[in-house]
Amino acid sequence: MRVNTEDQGRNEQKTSGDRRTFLGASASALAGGIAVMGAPFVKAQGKTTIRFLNSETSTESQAVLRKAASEYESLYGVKVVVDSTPISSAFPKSMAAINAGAPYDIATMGFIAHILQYARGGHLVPLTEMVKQHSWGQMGSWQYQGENWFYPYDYNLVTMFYRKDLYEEKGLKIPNTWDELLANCRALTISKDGSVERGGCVMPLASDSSTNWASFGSLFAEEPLMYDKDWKVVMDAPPNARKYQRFLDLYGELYKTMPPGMNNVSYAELMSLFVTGKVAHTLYSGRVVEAIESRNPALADKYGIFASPDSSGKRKALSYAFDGFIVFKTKQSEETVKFLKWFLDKFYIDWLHSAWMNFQPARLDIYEDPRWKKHPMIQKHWSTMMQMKSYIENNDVKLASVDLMGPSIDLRPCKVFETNVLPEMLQNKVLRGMSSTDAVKAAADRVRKIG
Amino acid sequence: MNQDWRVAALFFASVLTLGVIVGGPLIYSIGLSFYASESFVSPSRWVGLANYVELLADPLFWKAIGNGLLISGVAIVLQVSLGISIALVLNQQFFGRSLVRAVAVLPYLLPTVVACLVVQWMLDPNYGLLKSVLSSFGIGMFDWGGNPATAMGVIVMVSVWIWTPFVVTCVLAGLQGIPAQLYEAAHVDGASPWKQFWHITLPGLRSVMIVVILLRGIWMFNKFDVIWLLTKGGPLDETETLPTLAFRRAFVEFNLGGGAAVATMSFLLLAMVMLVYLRLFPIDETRQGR
Repeated sequence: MRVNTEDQGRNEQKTSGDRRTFLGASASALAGGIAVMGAPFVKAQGKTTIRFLNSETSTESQAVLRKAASEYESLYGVKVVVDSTPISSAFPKSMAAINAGAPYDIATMGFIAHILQYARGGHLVPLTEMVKQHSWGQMGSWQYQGENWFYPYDYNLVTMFYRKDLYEEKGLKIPNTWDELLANCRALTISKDGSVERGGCVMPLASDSSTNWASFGSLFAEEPLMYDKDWKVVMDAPPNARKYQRFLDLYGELYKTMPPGMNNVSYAELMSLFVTGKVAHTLYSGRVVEAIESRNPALADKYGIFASPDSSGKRKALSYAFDGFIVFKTKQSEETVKFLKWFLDKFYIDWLHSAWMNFQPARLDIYEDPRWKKHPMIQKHWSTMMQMKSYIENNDVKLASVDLMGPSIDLRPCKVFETNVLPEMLQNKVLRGMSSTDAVKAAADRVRKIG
Repeated sequence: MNQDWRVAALFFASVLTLGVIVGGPLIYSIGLSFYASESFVSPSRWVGLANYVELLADPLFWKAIGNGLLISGVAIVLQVSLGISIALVLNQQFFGRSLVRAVAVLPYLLPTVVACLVVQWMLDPNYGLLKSVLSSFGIGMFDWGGNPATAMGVIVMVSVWIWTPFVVTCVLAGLQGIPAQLYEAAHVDGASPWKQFWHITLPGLRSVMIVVILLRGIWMFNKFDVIWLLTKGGPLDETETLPTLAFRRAFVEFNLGGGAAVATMSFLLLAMVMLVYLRLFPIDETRQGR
């Protein structure tokens, strides 16, 4: 009995000792953990850290940013932390950072609506002085409330890519009118088993940004208005209604030459369908050339580009977007602007080379810069690049975008873009079988509702 | 007494944690629905019930409810019927049963993004596996994303593929709890397998099924990822549901208050349905007359 009591006491002591040991070890581990986690924070207190939200996620572009960050830190002792995210999540992420009280200092941004919202909310530093120092292509130096909030680095012109070899084979010419475009697409369409095996063209239909960005070049060539100068919706009033209707009639016919799945086609498919020979025409920026070189180099000398024609052969137009840098208003905005200037001075060319054809320079002086010109792929595709340059330099070809329709830069057309009014107008035409007149009327009513 | 204190402390700690994690965002979201705001970084303006008035007058809201009910209903019927069938097979003795049980649960472990991408690749109208198969029979590929019925069908198919294993696992666990003697007695009495299933198995699974259908109903009605990844609510809003509509309003159309109103209505709707469901089918076994 005594022995048992002693054993019990030893056991209790042991258990108690174990508990103490465990609690002690846990407390030490917790304290250690806090110290380790706190260390960089404490360290960061004495050092400026610039947080960079990057939405150019290719390995090459990220590598340039990493290298620049490392060099800047070693030169100036300022740490630059680069956080890369797909472009679709850049806005929610940067917005969440502001709300969490830890805003990014600098970001790449491509959608005007997001920039406008940040500018209206007083979250951006104007970059007017920096932008003023250079010449830009059409719309490259756009302003809002008298300031430049955005330092563009590229244009994403939506040119029509076509297969030169197929054109030669069929004796076709670059189209100057919608009828010619439709005839070429029909001539190059191959059907098998009742479905299109090789599409004459691809113009996306899905309710997303790729359709807004890519599908309306031919419409813009007709120069239709969506709003009048007082922001009244006039897209279903003459003469605009007829222009939209004509475009829908054209789309309805072109749709018959497209491969199946247009409602699921997005950026990647626009490229891959062309690169793999599934379509004879596609609409995209210079990134198609990069895709051709990496996935199907045999096509590298068999493609060409042209601007979208209007119905009568009088005008050409291109849909477009651009990307650039924005600087957020933070306690270290001054240091961030300094970093951006340094980056533009030292790494701008490397940055543009990281997507050598897709990052079509927005600054006109770059086209004369021997450092930029020496890239072997730019040299190889020089004629295409010069053709793209001519589109931004001259006013012969109209550059337009759904989110820039209207008498001035404003959030209203941005909402039309985001709510997919025009893609759904196409869907009403080809999926629902609505008449062009009704589809335009429905779209105009939606634009009015959006406000 | 000491024990009671600990239980109470744990209870209140749990309630507090849940209150912060669930209640906080819920109250914040309901609050947002009374404001007009373009985004989290834009100025907001008090509009009272205007977002709700606008929402209730919007045909898309009612369509989204209908779509949500249709997708959830069809998916749950298929998940439950397939889940019970598979569980009954896996409950039998056969060689390699453990391995087959493990394999049967695998789809549930797949990340939704992966599952949706796999399906998209398989059904791609230009490069997909199905196109190749159909082509070998001389049949052209159909455009599933451009047709409301097939787009909805694909959403249901993916949902059934991924979440039927959840039903299988629950039903399998429920089957273990049915006494074998009941089947032996029924066998002696000459009951057919169908009668055994109808009079022993199904009543024995009642509690499990009530919970499974409740959970699957809530999860399916709140399902966002599969729909967004596969169709984004298209074509022409034909697969739009309340979660995708809430997301679209708040984060795509720059109408944060409108999105919050959709989310709040969705929450209220689900809460009401859940209360009615639990009233009709109480989980408490003593109230089920068993």
